[in-house]
Amino acid sequence: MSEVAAAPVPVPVSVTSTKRVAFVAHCLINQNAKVQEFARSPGAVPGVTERLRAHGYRIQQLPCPEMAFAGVDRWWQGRELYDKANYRRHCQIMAANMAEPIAEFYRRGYEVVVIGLDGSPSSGVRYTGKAKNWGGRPHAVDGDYEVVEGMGVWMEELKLGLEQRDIPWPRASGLLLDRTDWDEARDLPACLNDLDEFLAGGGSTAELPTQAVSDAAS
Amino acid sequence: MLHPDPRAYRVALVADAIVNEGAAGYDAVALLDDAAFGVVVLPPSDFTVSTIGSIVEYVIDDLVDYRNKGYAIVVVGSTRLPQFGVWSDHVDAETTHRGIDPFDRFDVDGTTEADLVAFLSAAVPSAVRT
Repeated sequence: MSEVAAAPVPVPVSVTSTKRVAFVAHCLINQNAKVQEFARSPGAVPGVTERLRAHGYRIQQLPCPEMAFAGVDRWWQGRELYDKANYRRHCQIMAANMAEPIAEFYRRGYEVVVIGLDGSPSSGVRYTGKAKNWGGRPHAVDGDYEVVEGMGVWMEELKLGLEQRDIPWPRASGLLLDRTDWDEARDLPACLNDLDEFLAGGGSTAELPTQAVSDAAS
Repeated sequence: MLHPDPRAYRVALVADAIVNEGAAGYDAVALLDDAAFGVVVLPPSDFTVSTIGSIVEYVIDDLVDYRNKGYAIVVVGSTRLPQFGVWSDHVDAETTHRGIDPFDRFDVDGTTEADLVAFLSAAVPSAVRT
């Protein structure tokens, strides 16, 4: 763990006394899912679990659609290469899968948030990543990958999948880790402060019917 | 490599109740973090989730891919929890269906922090990319 990760906040082991849940981008607590050279830490991103617990959030994990689509040794891809019909169908299946646990937390009275991976072509909430020159024979140089405002493909499909099932898209933000000039000492404290501010604002609530939601969009 | 990649090639499927409810009786997540394990968490095992079969299927896809590439994979749950806390009926069905070895399991019930640390220390990835 880095020095930055040692958050000076009380970290409860259990968060059962609160009714808050955060659905986090898969790699925020499992950096092994990252494409090679974009992992920022050995296991989980330092400080994320501690921040979530300190604000009373249960941790739930979204699947990594890139991992499931192309495996752990996949090539780098920008948003343009993932923004294809078949990848979106893959994300739609995952959105259908996750709609039900998200709805169940709403039904049980939880405040719900989504924490994405900003800068990611798939899991970005506020920022995604484009690489207009990527394609064909693998070749990449620093500067090819551009972080721009907008959602990643997976987050777009998850949001749409929830809305199609009349499940509110939760309050959402992201940690901007997917940038090629990442410097932990410089950037991680700002990311965690940003997360703190977001989490302090609480999550979305909704009263949903008890019917299964998995068929609601059919 | 253009950039350093500090991943530790270690992944643990951990019961939701251990991550969120302190079901181990100690902070297993902190120990997993100290041991450089990434964590995979499924929905609470007492939820009714009709899509859980598909959710687990994707998780096992990932874990099998990791293992085939030399990552160390473990499961941390509890016999006191429904489905070992990790939807074990579905996990076992997936490994059986694929004809693959089950993942090494650690049952937190009746254990200490030292027991978990020892278990995690023994899970060594076979291949580390350089």
